[in-house]
Amino acid sequence: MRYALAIFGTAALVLVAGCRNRVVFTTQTSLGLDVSGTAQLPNKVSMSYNRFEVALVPRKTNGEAHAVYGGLDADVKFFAGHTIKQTFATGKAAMLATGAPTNGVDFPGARKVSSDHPLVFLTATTFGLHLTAGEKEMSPNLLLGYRRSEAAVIPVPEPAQEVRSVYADILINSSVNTNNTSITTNFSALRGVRIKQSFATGRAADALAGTSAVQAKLANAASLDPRVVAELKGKDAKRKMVVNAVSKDGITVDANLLKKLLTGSDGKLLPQTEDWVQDFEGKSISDFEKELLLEGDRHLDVLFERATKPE
Amino acid sequence: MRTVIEVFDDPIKAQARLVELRQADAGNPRLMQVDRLSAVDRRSDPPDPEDWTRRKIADRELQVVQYER
Repeated sequence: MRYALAIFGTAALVLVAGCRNRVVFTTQTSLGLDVSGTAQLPNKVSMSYNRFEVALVPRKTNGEAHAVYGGLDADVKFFAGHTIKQTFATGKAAMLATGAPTNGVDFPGARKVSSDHPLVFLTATTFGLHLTAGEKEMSPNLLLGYRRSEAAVIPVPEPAQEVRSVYADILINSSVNTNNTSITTNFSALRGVRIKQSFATGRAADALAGTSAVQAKLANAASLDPRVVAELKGKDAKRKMVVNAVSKDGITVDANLLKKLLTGSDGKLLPQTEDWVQDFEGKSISDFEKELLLEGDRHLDVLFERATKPE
Repeated sequence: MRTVIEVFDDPIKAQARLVELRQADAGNPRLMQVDRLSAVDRRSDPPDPEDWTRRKIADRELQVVQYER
């Protein structure tokens, strides 16, 4: 029932806001004892964890998704202590919250954009005992635990630009056995249940997927040897260094920097890179990164060495 | 469309390259293990003739990653 409500709520948000050129992001979380039903009889008794997350994200003109991030870390023992940490963010705030790189991103505020559409952002939290009862027509509801709803509808007047930032977080700590600094491992400090969950798009998702814990999960899911994962991470880091070394603005390739990097001490260009300067001058660094991954892979070590060599 | 062949001595590097090419949606990437270069040296686009010869002399088991562009 709660999922249905959340879905209807999201649909209502989309209808109210219109789904074109808007980022719609909502989460709903409930944890604990939830009793609801008719005035005569409770037809639902739930003692569980429920979470619903949805994001409708239009594509930016460069093909990237806008960044949104919803994170939950809960250490729970029913009828005992709780430590719940929850984060909700979009735009630059989502990138910063996940540690994603912000270079080369066209953020709001850098140039004037005309828009009169309001940004809608709301959160609602219930913690403890919440009891509603009333007239015959009104269904009674009892919640003993935690419930939080978060929603944002953010207009995107300029499709090339990253969505505006919103950020909300909450930390609830009702236990004497743990605190907000001990909520750093993957184990329950309360000998109860530990729930960690993340939901993200765009660069925020890239950054989350790059964390060692997520890499290990992805590698296990794909049955990859950890040494292969380490090799992939190492090569990816090298490519990023090389790509950064050929761009001044973090968006396009600078022909002079690229030529300098490709030219050895003997004054010759690396084999089969003769057309690169002409082909990639002024092009997006992501195009160059793809070429580096395919044909340029054989030169990756040399280029990385040159890119990191002090002047 | 042409076939690109890359040769690796290290199976880990070869496997990582295969994963990387799949993630980049490269055309039909495949990993092959060869113990005799004659099995692959007639294919197009050897990466570096000098390197190819050096490895052939060393007569080691090689990993070949092949894809199309």
